[in-house]
Amino acid sequence: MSDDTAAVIVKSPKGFTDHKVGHHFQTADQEFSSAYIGTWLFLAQEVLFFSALFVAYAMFRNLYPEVFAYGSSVLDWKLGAVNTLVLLFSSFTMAMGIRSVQTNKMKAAFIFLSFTFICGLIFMTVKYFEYAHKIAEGTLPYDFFNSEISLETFSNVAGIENLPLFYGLYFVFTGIHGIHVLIGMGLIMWMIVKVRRKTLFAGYYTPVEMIGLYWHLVDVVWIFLFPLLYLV
Amino acid sequence: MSEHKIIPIKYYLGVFSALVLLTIITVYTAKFVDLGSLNFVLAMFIALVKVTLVGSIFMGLLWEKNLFPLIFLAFSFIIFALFVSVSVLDTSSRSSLYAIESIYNRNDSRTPIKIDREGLLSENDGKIFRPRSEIIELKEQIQRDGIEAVLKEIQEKKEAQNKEAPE
Amino acid sequence: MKIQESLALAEEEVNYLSPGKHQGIWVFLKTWALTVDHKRIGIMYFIAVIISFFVGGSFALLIRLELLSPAQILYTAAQYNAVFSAHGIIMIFLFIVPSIPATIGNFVLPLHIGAKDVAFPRLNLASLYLYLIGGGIASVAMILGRVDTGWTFYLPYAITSETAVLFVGVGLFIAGFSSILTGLNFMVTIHKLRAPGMTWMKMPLMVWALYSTSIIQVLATPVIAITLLLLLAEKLLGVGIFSADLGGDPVLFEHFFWFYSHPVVYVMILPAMGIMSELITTFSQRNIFGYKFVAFSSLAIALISFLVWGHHLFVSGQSAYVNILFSFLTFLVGIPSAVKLFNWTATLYKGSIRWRSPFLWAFAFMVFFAIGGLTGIILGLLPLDIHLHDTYYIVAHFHYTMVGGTVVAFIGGIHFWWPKMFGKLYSEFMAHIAFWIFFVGFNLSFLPQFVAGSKGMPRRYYTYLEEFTIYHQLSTFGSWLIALSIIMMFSYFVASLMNGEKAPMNPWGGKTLEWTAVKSPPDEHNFERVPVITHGPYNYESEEENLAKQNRQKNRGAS
Repeated sequence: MSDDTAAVIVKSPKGFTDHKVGHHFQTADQEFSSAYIGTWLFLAQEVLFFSALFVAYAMFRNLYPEVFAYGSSVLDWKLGAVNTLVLLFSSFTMAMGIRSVQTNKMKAAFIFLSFTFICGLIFMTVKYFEYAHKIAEGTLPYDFFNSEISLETFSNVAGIENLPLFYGLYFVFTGIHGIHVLIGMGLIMWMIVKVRRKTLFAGYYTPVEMIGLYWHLVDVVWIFLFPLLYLV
Repeated sequence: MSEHKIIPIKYYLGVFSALVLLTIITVYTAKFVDLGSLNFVLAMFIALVKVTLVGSIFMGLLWEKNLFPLIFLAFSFIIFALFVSVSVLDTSSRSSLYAIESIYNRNDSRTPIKIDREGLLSENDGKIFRPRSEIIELKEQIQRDGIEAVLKEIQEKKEAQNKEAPE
Repeated sequence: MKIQESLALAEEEVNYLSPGKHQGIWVFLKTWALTVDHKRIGIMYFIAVIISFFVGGSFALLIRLELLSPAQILYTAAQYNAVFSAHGIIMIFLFIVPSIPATIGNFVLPLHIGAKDVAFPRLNLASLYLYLIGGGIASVAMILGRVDTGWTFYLPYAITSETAVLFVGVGLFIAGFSSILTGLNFMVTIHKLRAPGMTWMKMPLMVWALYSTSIIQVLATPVIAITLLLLLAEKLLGVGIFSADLGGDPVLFEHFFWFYSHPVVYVMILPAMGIMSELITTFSQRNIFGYKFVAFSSLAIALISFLVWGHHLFVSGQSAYVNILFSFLTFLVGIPSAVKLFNWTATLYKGSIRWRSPFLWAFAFMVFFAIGGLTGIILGLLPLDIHLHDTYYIVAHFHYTMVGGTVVAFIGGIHFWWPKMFGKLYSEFMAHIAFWIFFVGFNLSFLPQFVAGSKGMPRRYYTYLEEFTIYHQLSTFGSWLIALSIIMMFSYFVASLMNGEKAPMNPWGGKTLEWTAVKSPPDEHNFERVPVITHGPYNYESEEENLAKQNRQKNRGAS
């Protein structure tokens, strides 16, 4: 049981906590790039996780083009656009937050990460109002659908009897994306705590970088969702 | 770790403003310019550009020396594309080869749709589940005879029912 | 007395099994439950997977018992449905998928590449717990809720069935993440934690197999996760995408389901092939024939596995164009699989083969996998498949590949690495007897099913026509022989744990790192010092032989 490799320690500036590299890694760099590759593999997994929803969307859009056109014209694109801008801004602040940690600017990091968290909060609030509106209108999936459409729509839109299917897809899609946002907000909260406790610094910023990647992916999914559901 | 590049702020600012601009363009073209089916293509193209920007600058892939994440991600997108295209190919080419009717034409089901004019379909208020076949039939009838005739017929039926049912 | 005891303790070797051994039951449990050591996690997976195997196996015996005669013996048709569903769900999701990667893979992978642990040890423990929680929920729901949809959960029956499909879905959703995270962990480990000098072309073939497996686990498993989620949404909200009566398409569910479930059969077979490469080289004492071909054929199988899911939908109403496409693509899988089989045979050629117990299982694998693989090609033929679809031919085919391939390789792997895992030897004599009973029993069980299936015996029925009686009876007798052999194995392995002979460091004369640089059982941190690799994994031919070979080639070139 010889211990020929004592744990590697990344020295931190004054006032911060040193980072101890995992016992099975030789260098801090090896640890970082392991986490980096691992995160990317996780993101690839996320791509495939969302893929089935995109398949369903593509298929039914292809089968019922008019229903989807009608459905997306009913959704409030203004709220969708606001949410898109909010998420884009949060991606920007996230990137800036990571950069601040990399350059040891802890105050800036705290502010940027807090902004990211607040953006997540705004996104979810807007989502809440959208959902509440739909529940009030009754434009829900089949089992809860309770809404009226005009006679004109009824007689002019082909396959309108499948309208609740569109709302079903809408809720599943945005719901799963929303859960991802909530998880991301939790992780960002954790990072804010870490920044306050001064355990992240220029020499060790692995977790915040990885959570940043995840947050950007959530943004990327929304970049596709927004035009697909609200616009075209 | 030290070799990890710190990206200048101007890149982040530039990308963010580009993303905002692209969002405005998507909304504008999709909502106020009618290009037919090109609208969809354009929106997807802009989304792709936006995602490339996020991936290369915000996620830092542009500066990453290790190509493995990029290759693996590309692979996952290829599989994703395959999944979408083959499934869509299946549903869109099904009915042309099978003599039997496509499954979408089976008409027995519950479709809760209400229509606002004089309770055309929602005779009993609240949630109704109407057989799909009835809805589709009704729709054909409207297209054939016109709305007024159908409404009249329904009204007559209702009155007849009311007469039959004693108070 | 006390002095003697402490002397005995001091004499006892220290290894990864020691911490918490003599400090009472609670400390013992705690050190195991909170460990991040890949070897201990592998052992815990092993125990969990074996329990699943015994539960799933008992259901198999119950199925065969009912089919002893066409009359009703044990249960009604509905109960029979629940029994075969439980067999399928437990065996596939809770046994075969984690069997080799999570148990043997966890134990062996870091040893093979000269690492101290996997890249994310805590994630590894978390995936164990996810597996246990998910598996627990699914099993309880299945056994109490009598799920009767079969392991495929096809719609519309999964929606209309009043059994506990919902909870099984939740359980499998959770267990799926265990699979994803294990795959992710292994890929990163292989990328970043190889010992100095261990280039990609110097890795043991088991590592290549696990790498390919992990690709599939990472990219395919999320699809089943979202599919199960959509199934739940369909059941709870009536989303409608899978229900024809709501404008949806039940075949879409089959697309989703098989987009995961076909790649996942390669999650089952690829690591088995990795074990095969280790067994064949060790017990013929030869370098593998065509290292690169065997390594890249693993990757090729992983890639092709994503292109063939549609061959499960030939009679589901899938478009004929797509049918033809998938029928063609299915044949492609045969190429890398055959490359492997040929290379193993070529490795054995002129090798000094030793018929030790692990090799017996390698031999069985080659026989069974050849049968299972070739019948697979037959099933890939579009016109034949329409005749054979959902008959016992399919049942026999996938049992030949899954049991005859994966389970046989798993058992072979356990025989092979048992001395390394626990530092004890088992009775070679008993192992031989158990093997031959299994070999006879397995063929007796599943060969008749090919015949019955091609004559039209449909699968998943609790009764059958008189004319099929003989095939079913043979099959049932065979299942008893398999059970007997498994019980024998269990008993001699337990006996080996109790009072087995102490295993030497390298009982089989292997050349990979876990035999040459790690003692049996390994230390907590595997290697005494970081190994430096200078040659390939299977350099069985000695230096002189290599020199002589080179000289011969030179002479040939000169003349």
